[in-house]
Amino acid sequence: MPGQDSSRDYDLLDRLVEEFNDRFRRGERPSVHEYCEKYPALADDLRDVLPAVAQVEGAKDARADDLPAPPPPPPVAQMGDFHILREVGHGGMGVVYEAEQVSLGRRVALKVLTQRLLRDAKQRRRFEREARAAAKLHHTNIVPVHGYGEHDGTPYYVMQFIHGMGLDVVVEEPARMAPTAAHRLCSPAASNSHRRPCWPHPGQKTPRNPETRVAHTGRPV
Amino acid sequence: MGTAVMADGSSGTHQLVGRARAGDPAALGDLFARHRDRLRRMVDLRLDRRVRGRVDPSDVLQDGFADAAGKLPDYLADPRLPAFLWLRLVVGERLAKVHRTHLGTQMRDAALEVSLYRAPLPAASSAALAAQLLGKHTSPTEAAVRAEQMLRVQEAVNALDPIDREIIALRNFEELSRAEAAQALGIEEAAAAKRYVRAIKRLKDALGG
Repeated sequence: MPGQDSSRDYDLLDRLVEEFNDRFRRGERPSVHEYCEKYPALADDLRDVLPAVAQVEGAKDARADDLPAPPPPPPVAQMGDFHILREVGHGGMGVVYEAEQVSLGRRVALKVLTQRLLRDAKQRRRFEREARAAAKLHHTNIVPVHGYGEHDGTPYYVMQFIHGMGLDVVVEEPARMAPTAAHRLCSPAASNSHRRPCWPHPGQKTPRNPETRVAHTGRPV
Repeated sequence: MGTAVMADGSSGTHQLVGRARAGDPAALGDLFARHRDRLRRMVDLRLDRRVRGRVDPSDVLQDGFADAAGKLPDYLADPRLPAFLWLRLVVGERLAKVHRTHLGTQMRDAALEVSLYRAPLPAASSAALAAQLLGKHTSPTEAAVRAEQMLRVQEAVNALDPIDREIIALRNFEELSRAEAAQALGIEEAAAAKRYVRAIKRLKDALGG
């Protein structure tokens, strides 16, 4: 224990723990011994505190490390009326394929719920809700939804296929355009969807599904 | 990433205030994007499990963003908190509203815990901490691999009293900096430092290490 409730000791300990936490989160595995040698007066405290926070941070870490590998493309090249051509992108919720709708002979984008989430009733509802919500929107900057269906228990929805690059590419390429331009690009779309800010859905780490797409000219299509 | 921003929270604030006052409509969005992971963790941690089936954390976050857009002029007029903590507060208020709407009178126990805060954020429940440790999409098999270590930490964190649990939630799960955690609790940094170090010591005892 810091001697006589010395607040200076607590303060320094706290700073050291903060630094230790930060290093741990950056992927380093700092040694407790190193800290004890550097701050011998606090060595006993450090030996109590640092291994404990390392355990907490390590337990948190398990989430990231144990994440399953990205889902492989579905074994079927055919989903009902749709002939799958290639994967366009994937996000936390689904995989988007370029596909041909055989009966109508047209090119479509097919968003399929990730295999991993198939048994999660909540995620299925959310996926369906996403399709319904998108289908209600009508705007030149928003990809139209043609339909929703299920194939062997796997829900999917059908969108117009649009050539161009994903919004994520635009956002991550400041050389091409200022990052804020991407936000400005979608503001007309935002007014179409009530008061919702036009924002990559928080569930998607990288918004790679082509719901909002930008042509090579940088203009929304 | 988050840490550099945290340590230098004030420059983010200056930037936001400067850009927003200059009429840049993307300033708030950029700020929100920069802190989204931490805000999301906050919501995951504090969304009552009884509401979970009905309310999606993403929706809370999105509604919180809309709230922030509405409250931005007031904040710009008198920015008392660093921008990130202000956003966290606005999202927390939205979360409290969600709880009131869905839980109504069942709020009693949660309300008790709210008194720990100056800000009306719902308390991080032990169940939510457990869920964070286990990860949302981790399959039972994967969870089993590290289950022992995770469960030990989980039990130890749950065994702490709510004040200790809260400071650990802020510092290790929400990943707030020392200064941010102190401001979020409305106490001096020195007091927050002492609280955190003592909480970790009790956690160490609970871990049996």
